[in-house]
Amino acid sequence: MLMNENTSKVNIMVVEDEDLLLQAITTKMEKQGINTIPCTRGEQALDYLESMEKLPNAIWLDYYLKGSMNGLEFLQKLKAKDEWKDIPVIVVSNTASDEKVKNILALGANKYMLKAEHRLDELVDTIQNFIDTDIS
Amino acid sequence: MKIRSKIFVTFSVGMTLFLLIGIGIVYDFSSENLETRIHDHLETSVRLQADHVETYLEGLEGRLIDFSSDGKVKDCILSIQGLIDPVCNHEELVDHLIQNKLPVAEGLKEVFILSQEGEVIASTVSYSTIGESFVGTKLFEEGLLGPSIGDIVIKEDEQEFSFLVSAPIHKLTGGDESIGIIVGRFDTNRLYEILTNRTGLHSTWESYLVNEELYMISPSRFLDDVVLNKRVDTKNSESCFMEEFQGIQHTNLDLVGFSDYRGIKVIGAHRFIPTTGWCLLVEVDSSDATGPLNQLYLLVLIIIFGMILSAMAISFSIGSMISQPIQKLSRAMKKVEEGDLSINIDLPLDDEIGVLAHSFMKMTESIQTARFDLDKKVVTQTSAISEQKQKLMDQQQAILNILEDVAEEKERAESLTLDLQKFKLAVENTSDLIIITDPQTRILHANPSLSAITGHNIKGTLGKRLQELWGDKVTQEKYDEMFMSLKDKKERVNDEITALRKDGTEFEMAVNMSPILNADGKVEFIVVITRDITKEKKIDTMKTEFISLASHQLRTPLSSMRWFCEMLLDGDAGELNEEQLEFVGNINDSNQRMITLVNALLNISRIESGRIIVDPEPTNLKELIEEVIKELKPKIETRHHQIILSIHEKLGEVNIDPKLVGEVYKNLLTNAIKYTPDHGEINVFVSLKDDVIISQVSDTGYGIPQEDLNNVFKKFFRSANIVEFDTDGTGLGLYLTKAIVESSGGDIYVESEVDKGTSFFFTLPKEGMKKKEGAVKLS
Repeated sequence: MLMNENTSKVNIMVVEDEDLLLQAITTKMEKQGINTIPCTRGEQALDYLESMEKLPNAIWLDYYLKGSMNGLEFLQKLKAKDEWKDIPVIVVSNTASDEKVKNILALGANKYMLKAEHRLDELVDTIQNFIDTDIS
Repeated sequence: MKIRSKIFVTFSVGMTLFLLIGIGIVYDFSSENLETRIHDHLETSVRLQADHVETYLEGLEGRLIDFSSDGKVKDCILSIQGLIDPVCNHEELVDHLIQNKLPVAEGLKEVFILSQEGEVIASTVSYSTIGESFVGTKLFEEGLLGPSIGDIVIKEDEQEFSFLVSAPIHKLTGGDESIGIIVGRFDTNRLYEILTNRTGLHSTWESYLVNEELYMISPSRFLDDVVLNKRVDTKNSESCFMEEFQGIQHTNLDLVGFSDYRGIKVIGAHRFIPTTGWCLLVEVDSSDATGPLNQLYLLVLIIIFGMILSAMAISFSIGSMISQPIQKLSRAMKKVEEGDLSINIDLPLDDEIGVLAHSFMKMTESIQTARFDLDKKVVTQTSAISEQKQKLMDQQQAILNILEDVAEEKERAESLTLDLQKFKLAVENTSDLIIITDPQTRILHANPSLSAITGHNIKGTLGKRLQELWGDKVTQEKYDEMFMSLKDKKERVNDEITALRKDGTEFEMAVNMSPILNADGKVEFIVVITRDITKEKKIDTMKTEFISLASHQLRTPLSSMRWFCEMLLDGDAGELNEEQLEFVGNINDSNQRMITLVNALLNISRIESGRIIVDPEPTNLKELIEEVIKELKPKIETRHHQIILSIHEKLGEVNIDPKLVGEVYKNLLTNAIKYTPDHGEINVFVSLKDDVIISQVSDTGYGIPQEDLNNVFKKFFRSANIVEFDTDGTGLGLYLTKAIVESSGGDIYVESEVDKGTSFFFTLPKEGMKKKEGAVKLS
């Protein structure tokens, strides 16, 4: 059941170093029936990816991350690995220089979005849209 | 004195003198001649007349001699005297005399016979005289000797002058013995007739006889009762008798101009008549004699006068003839002298004056021509001179101006020098590296900052090219692009490049290069001002990081709040009651405002820092606006506004930064939606005028009070009439809008009327916005 649940449910990895935000995002996603893999650090997220049987359907990535790895570095690592490079990534941050945004998109992030500008459900919808298109 | 007068006077005087002298000579000559001639004439006539008289008298004597030889007479005398037999008596004798003698002689008045004793023995007049003795008388004494003629006498009773002519009666014819004397008394008629037989011109011509006692014995032509009564004691008579007495021949040439018996000047001649001892005097009045001469003189005088007059006239006319042309000429000359050269002297060419006048005219003509030429020249010269003068004045003015300018220039130069010194000081001491190069970018000058910034020394740098100085961190293409802008386009270059120091380390450099053009518009120098912006860049990066961080740090809790609120409101944490919903909603609203405010502040800080990126791309304005409208659609629908978009048809794609321009439309439309009562009308109208795109966003809203119109674009300003019902505004929207429009090369302005509506107009250059490299974009 759980398995079924797990297999049938959409998995979204949320990499967000801000606990409250992470809580809000995962809560909202869970409420909408999305299975979440919350991570607060890039390294942690990479470890999860290594160890996961089933890769997440999408990754919510904050740009600024606590620890030695920021969103960009994480993205580089992610895209460097063939198994992972096709996972849709939405970079959601509260600020980033244009150059950084450019680099993010250049590395293959599907979208960059500003947190404060959007309702949470909007963001969740957006990321779900990428999964839908991906599946289809 | 005029020539005419001179000629006139000279000629007249000369002529007069000449004539007078001539006449004098003629006069002198002719009067003497005339007098001599008259005198000669008188001589001739006196001789002729004297001969005549003598002939007459001799004739008379001859008649008496004839008588004396009459035999009858002799016989009678002898008879009477008793010397012979009386054959004849007294009466017979008288009868005989009367009958035979008286008629035969003209003028014979009486004949009587004297006896030897001197007694009258017979007379034809009367017997009373018989016996009368003539003894002692000349008649008797001479009568016996021969025929004689006695003086003129007057017989008292007869009152008649007569003279006696006697002849002796010889006894025998041709014998000497006188028997008596026969005497005839003749009247003077015949004699006087001879004397008065005058032929000649002279009315005063007079011949008269004077006896030895110098008494006139013939009548005077002028006086009465002169015979035997008037004594002629004149030179003529005296010399006549003197000459006769002295036996001198007539040399009476001096008988000119003496006084006659009347005391009047006469010319005279005389002749002694021996028969009677009388003198025949012929005289003519001097005046009369010279009368013709005087007449001649008069005539001559008249002629002279006439001649003088004609001479005067001639001289006058000659004078005129000479002077008139001269006068004409002189008048002409005077005219010429007065400056009128257009003279015409009407003179024939046949004389010297004519020729002179002609020459003069020619001369004046040539003068006129010359003067015309001269005038022309003068005009030319004058204009040249005035031009010259003007030039001089201009030059003078110019010099004055120059002097002024020089003074100004000096002042300016001094201030310039001062400025230059300041300038130089500034240049020398500024931390910026200032380099002056030639058009080939060879370094001519560098300020001391050179070594501070690059480590190169100035000396070693001079003559090098900029790229040698800056090193190869900049690509050749970049150099070419910069120098082409400078040299060919003559445009300033503002750029940031990475250059190398002498020691090989990199540094960031802001470069400002300006071409300095000469008068021909060619690049003469290039002024290069460079600044080491390595630190600035660092600061800039830090700033950017800070803003990012700040926005991140602010936005993160805001996002958190927002999202939790949303979840609460969505009922993710269970259904909220009405009051809870309201409260959470309020929190959410405030949070939303906070987010907006943070966004606006960030945008403003970006715009103000000038680091905003302008990234133009060909954009369809219509689509852009429609997108904005679409984005705003929920709000529009909530307020039930009607929105109308109209765009110039020919407006194709415009090179603009869609994000920035979209922000402008969005701001304006948001305002329009917000500040228009429900069911309002919003118009978006985009037109094209010349090179400018004009966008108009109008609403039918509350409007902006007039006093606030000037402030609507100010930071944090909110109009009084909207603050009351809308507390949600930040007062930053229009400020940002204006900043974007202006940074895009456009303008924005507003028209509004309270409760009627507001219209915002903003322009964009048609050619689009200029790309601007910056650090940030709007969020």
